[in-house]
Amino acid sequence: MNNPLISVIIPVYNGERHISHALESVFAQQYPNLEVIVMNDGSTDNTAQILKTYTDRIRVITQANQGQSAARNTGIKHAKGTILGFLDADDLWTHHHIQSLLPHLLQNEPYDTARGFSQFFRSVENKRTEITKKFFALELLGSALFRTSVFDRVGLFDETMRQGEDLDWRMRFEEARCIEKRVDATTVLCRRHASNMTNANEVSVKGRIEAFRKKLQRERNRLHA
Amino acid sequence: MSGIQTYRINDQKVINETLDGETIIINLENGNYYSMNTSGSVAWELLAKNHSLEQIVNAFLARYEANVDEIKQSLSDLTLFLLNEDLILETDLTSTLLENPVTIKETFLTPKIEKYEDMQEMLLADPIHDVDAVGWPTLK
Repeated sequence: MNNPLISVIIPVYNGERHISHALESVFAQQYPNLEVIVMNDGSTDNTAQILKTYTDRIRVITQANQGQSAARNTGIKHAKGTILGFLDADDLWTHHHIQSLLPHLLQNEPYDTARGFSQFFRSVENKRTEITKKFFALELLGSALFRTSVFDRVGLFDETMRQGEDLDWRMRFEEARCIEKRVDATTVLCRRHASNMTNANEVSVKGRIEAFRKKLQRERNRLHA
Repeated sequence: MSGIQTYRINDQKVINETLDGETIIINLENGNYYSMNTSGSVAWELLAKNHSLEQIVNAFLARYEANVDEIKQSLSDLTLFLLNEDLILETDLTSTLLENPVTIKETFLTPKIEKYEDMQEMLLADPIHDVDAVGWPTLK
């Protein structure tokens, strides 16, 4: 079982500008046993038309707009692979993403997830520039591969959270004492836009604080249980 | 800490939000986070609005049933802690305390803040994501 089925879940909402690049970065892995699930979360732009040009290589699941967490959760429920990967529609996997991470999740390996480095990039007229050094972002889904079974232990993404749901999931991952292998390779490139390179906006601040509030609440519940 | 010194939130390093009387404060620089109870949250809000310790003591006296020494001591301790943790800074800004007529005073609970250091690694590695109103990364 050296090439287990890997399900890659790509949620997309109005992602016509970058979805093709995201998909091509997954196909570029040249891995023989891939299931690519694109969750079209009620896009109103040309996303659906673009996805039609890939029908022989991807599964498209269309749902009314319910947000990223719900889209990912639906993707997980439909996934057939024993290994899961995630990619946001405007980000890119590096070409060795699977090659770097999968060996640590094969049978007999003790890890629940394997994670590489992330790197921010900016793209102007298809010319890509890296704008930060590589960094570990522990809650970033795109930089890791996951055993599908880890979602039985940690649970799915919190669909009530519009932001901070990845941080929330990661906190629950730690609380469930799951373990992660850190790999010295950059595995995801995250697109930064002119507008999102400075400070956290109000929504993302609220999301992060919400994740902490939920964590504290779980701890209090445990103490009182 | 003199009575007329005023304060502001160290918002270059700190994010915070109060919900149902509990304030969560996260120091993004060192990854520490804090939870403050209801009366602590009231003090935090007044500190954030550039009030002095003396003004905050007066606001507490008007709002809570407690003796002045108890209120003074607990607010002084809290302010010193917040300063030492780099969560607030001294400022030259001042503001006038709004009178809030209170008919029935509330029971005074000592302002409390709890500090947590178990998430430093995750917070320090946390990149900032941007979303629009429907919860998706903003495409620009």
